[in-house]
Amino acid sequence: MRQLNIVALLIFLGAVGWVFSWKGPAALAVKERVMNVFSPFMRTGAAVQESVASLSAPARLPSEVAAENAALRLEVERLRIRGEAYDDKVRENNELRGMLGFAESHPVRLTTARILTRNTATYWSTAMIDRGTADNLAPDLPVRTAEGLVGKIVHLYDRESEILFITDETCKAAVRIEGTTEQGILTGVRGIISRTPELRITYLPRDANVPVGAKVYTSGKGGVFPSNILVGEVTRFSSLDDGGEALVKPAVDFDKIKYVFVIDREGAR
Amino acid sequence: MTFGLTLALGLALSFLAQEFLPVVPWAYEARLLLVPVVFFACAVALPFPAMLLFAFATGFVWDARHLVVDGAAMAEQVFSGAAVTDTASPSFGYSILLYGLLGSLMQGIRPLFRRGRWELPVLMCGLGTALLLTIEHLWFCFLRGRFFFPEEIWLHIGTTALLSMMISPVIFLLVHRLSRLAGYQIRYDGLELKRAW
Repeated sequence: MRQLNIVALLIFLGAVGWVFSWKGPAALAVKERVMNVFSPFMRTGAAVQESVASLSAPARLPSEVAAENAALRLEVERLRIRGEAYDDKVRENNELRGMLGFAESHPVRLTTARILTRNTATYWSTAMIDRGTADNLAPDLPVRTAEGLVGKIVHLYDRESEILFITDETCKAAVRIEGTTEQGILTGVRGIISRTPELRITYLPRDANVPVGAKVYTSGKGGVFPSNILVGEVTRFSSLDDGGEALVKPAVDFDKIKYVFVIDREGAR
Repeated sequence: MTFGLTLALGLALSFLAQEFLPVVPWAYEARLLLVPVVFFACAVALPFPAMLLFAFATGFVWDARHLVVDGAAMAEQVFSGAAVTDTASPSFGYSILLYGLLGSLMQGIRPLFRRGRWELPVLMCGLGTALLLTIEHLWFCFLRGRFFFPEEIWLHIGTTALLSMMISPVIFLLVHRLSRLAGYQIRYDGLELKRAW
């Protein structure tokens, strides 16, 4: 081996050691800078991919689109009325809480976001959404769809955020099983996201009575995910040496989601 | 120098082009990983010190783009509310080592590439991509304390490697053309050594 190569190898190993020594905040700062450079390309790339995909989609008649539009407008009106009633209840609830000396509960704020890209280059189950710090988002905010829990925000950039899907094995949530008193920790399973991802609930008692088909909801413990968001339903329960384990089929079809809602509590931060 | 800068520009462009490449849903979410292929092509065309520089840059940007930093520590606040030490995430910069290792493997077939024989370099591109994904998977398994090898993982890795092999001749052709345009000769150090003796 030539001398120059040895010197280069030593410098390379030194540089790698230096990068390895970075703690979380330093690595996050670098990641944020790099991601802000990638940002316009991610958005353009997502738009191009969407345009290409739409070319193969079957054409729809204008009358069909108009009918769907009318139905959606009615749905929006209906939900607006329900929203007003909900705000009224929250106000009333806070007045009563005030009388009892309880802390005020904050109304939920939902930020709609579009999924730009999914990360399939590595083994993380993540996706980029088109909302970031400019939209007043924060790390660890939960993300859901109308069907159920999707995941939470892990990285924030100026105009985008990265969400970690609940199907990733590092994303953990405290859950309860409907119709039972059982509670456990739900994690994802590493693998390919489109191949019917399964979730696992661990730390259940070995003799727990968990019926197949029981709905699984977030319990609200831990402070990241609010309570009572549907996660999925139990498909199997097995007793292992170190406790019971339930397999859960997610309520959300992760292959099809295009839009998500980021949940925040107004005035909570 | 001009050739090196041109390749660096090409590598940067591959990172941006990667954002435009869709996944293949029917092939277990496989995707053409353009960045590793361009890096492998650079690794066979450049001398060892320059390859290490490229490995550093590629791994660094790759991690900045794809790694979830401290994901587990931020996620693990269940029940007790106390943050748990992060042991499930690879450290920032681990891809630099991976690219350095795989780039060194590619250096071994530089003589063939210089002679214009592309069969093995093309095969190595696929093998390198497969190795990259496999080592990464094993690393994740090690860090997370559970080794498992579902069929989907192998099919995903295999399809991604196949896509890399299919695009690699085009990248090799481009690298050869660029070397000619830049007046750079992809040198065969082994022969130089023989002459020196």
